[in-house]
Amino acid sequence: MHILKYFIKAVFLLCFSISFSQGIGSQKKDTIYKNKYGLRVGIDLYNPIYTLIDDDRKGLELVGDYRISKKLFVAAELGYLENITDEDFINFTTNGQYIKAGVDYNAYENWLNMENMIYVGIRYGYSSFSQTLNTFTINNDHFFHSLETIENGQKFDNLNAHWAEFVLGIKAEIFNNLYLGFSFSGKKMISTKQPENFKNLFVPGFNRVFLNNSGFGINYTLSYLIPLYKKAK
Amino acid sequence: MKQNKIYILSLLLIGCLQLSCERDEICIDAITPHLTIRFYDNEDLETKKSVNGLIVESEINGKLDTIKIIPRDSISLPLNVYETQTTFILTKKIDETISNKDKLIVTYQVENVFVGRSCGYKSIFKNVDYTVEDINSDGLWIKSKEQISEHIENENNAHLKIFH
Repeated sequence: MHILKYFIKAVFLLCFSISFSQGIGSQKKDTIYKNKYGLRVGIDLYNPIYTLIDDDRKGLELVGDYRISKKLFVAAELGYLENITDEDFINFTTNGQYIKAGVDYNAYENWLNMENMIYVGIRYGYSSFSQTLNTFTINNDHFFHSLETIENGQKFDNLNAHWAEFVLGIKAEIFNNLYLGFSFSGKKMISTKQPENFKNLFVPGFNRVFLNNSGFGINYTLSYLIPLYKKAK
Repeated sequence: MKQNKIYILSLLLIGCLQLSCERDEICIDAITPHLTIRFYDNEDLETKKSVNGLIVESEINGKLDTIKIIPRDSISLPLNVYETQTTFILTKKIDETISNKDKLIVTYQVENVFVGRSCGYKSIFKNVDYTVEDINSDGLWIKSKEQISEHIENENNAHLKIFH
């Protein structure tokens, strides 16, 4: 329910922010505007900013998309992430790489020569990672001891996960060929190789794995379009 | 440019929403099980019989401490997960001035099992064994015992029957 609530809020604010971006560049010319086609590459800003605030999460994600038609873009993300999760009775580090691939559909009708996007997308995600159980506490009766935190350090290697994502996002051209984007993704785990006597509670690229095997993510991206050619459609 | 600033600001605003989506799981699963002992009548082995004025103590850091129990025909006792043995002193009230103390030694192997995000790990006890010893040479009030299960993995059933 939390995710749903969050999702609705996000959608609402998305529409809100788009109404501002519509005001950009309202010059008038009597020409046929051609769309720019090319390869757009960029980085995700969420993880680097997060690292500044909280040292528990370190990662980098490269994003890219390639326009195949007026509305369709082939998109992919490639990243690595090291994340410490601290719960009441366990503390563990997740370390790994991930790749996501799919398509974005631009549902936004641009004015003039603008190249902004409000898009929906789908992704297939795969991650290969390890989990290290740093400390744990045996959840038991307090009679003999106050609860003791046990140093562990046990590492679970060669884990992986496959999942599907639904993406909702916006991209705005803030300068010529330079884009600022925001996207929200809802994820659903398809399959995952679980460690023995532990569980994949966090997966790089998927983030926190909720009880019903769902997850969500946020991206802020800064990307640059390498224009290859222009087409009217 | 002014519009751009507003635009960037609204993006950051959405990010703040993320904070509202944390910690929705609380520990409701079964954690480390207690040892459940059920008391029966020594004369009529099928009849449950509570122990008169029962007090259970165990040693913590070289000192005896009383374990809080509800004195019924069945009691739940914690086992020490950091050791492979727990010793209990069970005191039965004979009359107003006299009481009889017996020692119950429980030995086991501890295995830690992952429960979940919010509960962490619990312990289960394998190959459990019970020994009863007399204290103060006044004879045993525990006449006999019967082990119900070899392992203590949950609290669904009693693990030990004591006849008195």
